[in-house]
This record gives sequence, C-alpha cells and structure tokens, in this order.
Amino acid sequence: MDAKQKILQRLSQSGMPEHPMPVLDFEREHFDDPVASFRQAVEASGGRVAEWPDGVSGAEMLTSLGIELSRVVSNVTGIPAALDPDEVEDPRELDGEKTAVVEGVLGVAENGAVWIPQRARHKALYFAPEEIVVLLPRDGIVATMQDAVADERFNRDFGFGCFMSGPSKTADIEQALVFGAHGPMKLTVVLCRDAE
Amino acid sequence: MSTHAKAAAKFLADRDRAAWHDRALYLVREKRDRMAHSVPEWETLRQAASDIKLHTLSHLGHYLEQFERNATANGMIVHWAEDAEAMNRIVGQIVREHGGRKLVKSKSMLSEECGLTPYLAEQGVEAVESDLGERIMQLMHRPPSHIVLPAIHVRREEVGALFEREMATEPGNSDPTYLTHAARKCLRETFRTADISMTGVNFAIAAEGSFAVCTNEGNADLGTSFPDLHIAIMGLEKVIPDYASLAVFTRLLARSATGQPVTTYTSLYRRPEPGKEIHVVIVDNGRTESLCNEAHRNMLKCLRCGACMNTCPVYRRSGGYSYSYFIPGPLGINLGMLRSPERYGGNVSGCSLCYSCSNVCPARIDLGEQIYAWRQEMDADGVADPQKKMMVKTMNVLMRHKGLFYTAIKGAALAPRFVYNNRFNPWCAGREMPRFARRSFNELWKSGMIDQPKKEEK
Ligand code: SF4
Repeated sequence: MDAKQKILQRLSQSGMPEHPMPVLDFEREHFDDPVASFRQAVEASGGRVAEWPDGVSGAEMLTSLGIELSRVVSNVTGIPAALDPDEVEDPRELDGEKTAVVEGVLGVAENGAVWIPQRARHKALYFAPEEIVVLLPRDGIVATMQDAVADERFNRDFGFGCFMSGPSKTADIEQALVFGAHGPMKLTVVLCRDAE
Repeated sequence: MSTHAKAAAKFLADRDRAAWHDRALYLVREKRDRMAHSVPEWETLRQAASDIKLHTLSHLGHYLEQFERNATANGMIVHWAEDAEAMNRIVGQIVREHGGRKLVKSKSMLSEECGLTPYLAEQGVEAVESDLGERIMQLMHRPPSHIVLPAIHVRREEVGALFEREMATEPGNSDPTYLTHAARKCLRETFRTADISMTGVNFAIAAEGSFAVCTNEGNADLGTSFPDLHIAIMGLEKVIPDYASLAVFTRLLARSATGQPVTTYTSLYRRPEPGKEIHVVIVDNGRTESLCNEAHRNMLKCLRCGACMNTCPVYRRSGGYSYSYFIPGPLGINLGMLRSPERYGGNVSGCSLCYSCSNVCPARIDLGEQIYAWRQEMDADGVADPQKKMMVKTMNVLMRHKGLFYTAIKGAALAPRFVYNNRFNPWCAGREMPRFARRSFNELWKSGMIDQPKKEEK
C-alpha cells in the first residue's frame, strides 16, 4: 500500500460523524456607496485611488499620476509602454525601477482588494516592479469577498490570480508598519469607464 | 514547577521586555477586536467557518482525492507523505531531480514541524527564509516565537545590530523602515538567484484544484516568480470544498490575525506557467490520528491565524519560548498534547482557563475547554503535577468542612504575615498575598454589622 492509500484508509476509519455542508446564504455586509467604501479601504491599506476621465489618453492619465512613461511596463491596449512584458524572456528583467500597468477585474468594497487574474506571460509582472497601477472598471466593484467569487466576471479558468490590496507591507520589526517589504512599494487603482 | 512556569520565569526576569511584549501583542488584539466589531455578520462568519471545516474534516478523504484529481488535471504534480521524514524525503527527491542549491522559502509552520530546513542543509541545499520576521529569526539561529509574528519578541536595536553584522547596514541605525528596505535589497538578490521556491498552503480548493497562499509582504509571490520549480507543502487539513468557502475564510483570516481587513496578497495558484513545475506535497504526520481523537479533533479546524496567542494573558506575559512545543499559546498547548502528552504535558498549566482564546478563534475551536479536558485526562493518566494535586486535595477537605474552614481563616487572620507571605509560597512570586481580614464577612453579617438592603415600601 502506498502513502496515499494508507492515509485514505486511516481517514476512512476516523469514526467522525457526518457534518453537512452549511448553506452560506446569510445576510452580508451592505455598502450604500460601494465605490466610496472601496476607495477608503484601498487608502487604509496604503494604496491610492484615481480616476481615468473620459477623453484623456493613457499617457496623460499616467503623467497626471506622476508616473514617468519611460518606466512603464505594460501589455494593456491604450497604455504607452516603454517595455512589453511579454517580449521579455527572463522574468528577472521585470525587476527594478519600473511601473507595471495591469488590468484588474473586480474590486472588493469591504477590504480594498482587487482581483487580478494573470494576463501576462510572467506573473513576475505583478510583483517584481517597484510600482503597480491597476486599471479597474468602475462597475467591477462588489461588496464582499463572497460576492467577488460568486460574480460571473470571476472567471475560474486562470493560471494564476491574486486578490491584491495595497502595496507590499510588513510590521515584523516591533510592529512598526513599513511599506515595500518585497512586492511593489506603491499601488494605485485607476477607476475606468465601465467595461463594455 | 511546570516546564512552562520555569521557562516563563526566565522571560519575566527582564521586566521591561516582558511588559513591552505584553503591550505589543495587546495592540494586535485590539486591532482584531475593532475589525471583528466592524463586520455585522462576524459571528455568523465564525459559525460558517467552523461548519465548513467540520464538514470537510468529516469527508477529508473525498476532498483530498478531488483536490488531487483537479490539481493534476491543471498540470500540477501531487505527492502524499505519511510523516515528516517522508515529506523531507519527497522534497529532497524533487530538488535532486530538478537540480539546484538555493531554495527561497516563504513562511510555513509545516516545514518547522518537519525540520525541513536542516534536512535540506544536509543535502547541500540552502533554504533562505524570505518573510522578514522569519529571516530575522533564521539569522539569529532561533525559532519563531509566534506563528504569524515570528520576531515579535525582538527589539529594533537587536535587529539593527543583527543587520549591521549580516547586511552591513549603518552602525546604530535601528529605524524599522531603513532596516526593512535594507532587507528588501538583500533578499532581492536571493530571489533573483534562487533555483527553487517553496511556499506553504493556506487553503487548497478541492473543486478547482487550486491553492491559496496569503502574505502581506509578497515574499511568496516574488519567490515563485523567478525559479521554474515551486514546491508547496500542506498539512492535509488545509483542503476546503470550493471558492465560496475560501471567501468565508479570507473574510476572517487577516481580521483575526493582524486586524487587517484582508492580507495584501491572497494568491491563487492553479496552473504552472509553460515550462515550469508546481509540486504539492500533502502531509499527514499525525493528523489522521488527531482526527480519530473525538475529544480533540476540533484542533484540525485551525486556520493558523494566531489570534488565540495575541489574546492569551499567559502567552503575552510569558513569551513564545516558554512553551516546550514549537507552536506556543493555546494552540500550541493543544497541538503539543496531541503530539505527545509525555513530552509536552508541561504546557497545560500555562493557561488561566479564561477561555478568551475560544471566544476569538475564527473557526470557533474550543481551545480553552480542551486544555481543561487535557488536565482531567492527565490526571487519569497519572501525569498531573503532584504538588498541585496535593494542594487541591487539601482545599477540597477544607472547603467541605465548615468548622475546619473557619478555624483556618481565623488562624490566617491572626498569624503574622510572613507565615504565608514568603518566598516559599509559590503564589508570592511576583505578587503579594492579600491581607486576611480581622473578621470574616460571615462574622460581620451575623453580628448585623452589614447594612441590609431596605425592603421597598409599598
Ligand atoms: S486555534 Fe483558532 S485562534 Fe488559534 S491560530 Fe487556530 S484559528 Fe487562530
């Protein structure tokens, strides 16, 4: 008998009584203004929220956020990129003084997290650059994590995906909060026109 | 004295540090309280988490097989390990077949449990911790003293001195921002040059064959971004049914752990990138045995959030190293007992039975009640502390016999204070005995010296 069989056999003899799966239909936290709550939560987690006004180009929008276009790494249409992350062979090349501009799908009002499924060749794009800008359609904001995973835009067929809230942080030295532990030091969520 | 009390005395010898440790953890607990109170359905969420875990545990074989099937279909490679030795052997084998000498690790209590890092070192593979707190402890050659806040007992000056030695930071600079960014720079080099990455698993989702890793630093995410091999190790109780369950747990985990609404990164791994490999090792190491233990199988519901430690008045005032098991606090007392009552029985006295842990646990584990149960079981097994047993027996006789009881109280009130307030009375370590009243309440009451509440006039 191999390890798996032995473990499964021991489990089947645990004598544990059957417990039904609970029905998770309880009432969930409700937000009168989910966009405002989302904004608050992102700011509380150390990030910032900006808007992409209609008629403004990608370059103008990024410049208005103080982002140097020469640092931009992106494969999103409409974003002027100095580097296409998908052209890079070695993901280590995405490391350094760069600003990744990526697409998010859902924003969660209760905690400021943005669901970002991997839409690039290397997932390093989301973690190695010093700064990250996430474009999020305004109508992608939902109330809670439970609403997020139940949403049809939460497409389960991803390779890798991340609920990301704010920049990387740590409090491991005397509980003092410091941004920029290992991932991006800065995070901006840019609310865009509703997805078509 | 129990092993816990002896070790705690050492920690308490440095009074300033002990007071600071207590305060630092209490702040974390207060943050958790604020978060819990801000979610209207908090108690419902805790109940749901408990129910989902109980359901999964009662069908563990089914869910593990489902996870394996789906993860394999997604292109991951799943392994099963019966014990610590088997896990280490499997990891060693994967590393050997892949080749490489440098492994970058994110925090995993399971690797601590199995002694993986020393095992790999013997095989000539260096495992570098990448979580800042874990890295500090690794460089200090000490184990973590808390499961979520590994270096909570270390002062900033000590980190400054350590980094000055290890990373050539400025002498005397112990600013947390400066030190954190120095570590960032230093570890970035490790991330870039590592051949292998390793992470733990917070939740393995059976229906999807994916798994979640939660961090604030992004160390697990960065660690798995460069090398082409990712090994994830998980205790078999980490499997959950589906994403709806995951959502419930992610609403509770960070709020309970550090008082944040969610961890910065909740990353879901489902399919390896082309040309890369993800291996998942499912580990038993005594867990199936715990599941058979009807009185204590609840421990397998644990999410490893650390809330029970932060709230525990004994943990806060005695530190993680006062427990003889590698996991401290109420969780560690219980897990240690499941591992070996003979070896870790000394921890059960490190509990005031206040049950605060049971009240904060997001999975509603009855930690305090179980510690109480262990004490009863220890007595039955004949391993209870003989001195305490004697004391309790004496009290029992005293309290049952009225005459004896009042004579004893009178005697105590008349006796000179040094008779009971001395260093031979273990109760007096760190505190004063209260003074016995000249006349007992009972006496005062009987002699009418206490005002009776007036009857209401109609
Ligand atoms: S026992 Fe409960 S409170 Fe303690 S670490 Fe586990 S989940 Fe958290």
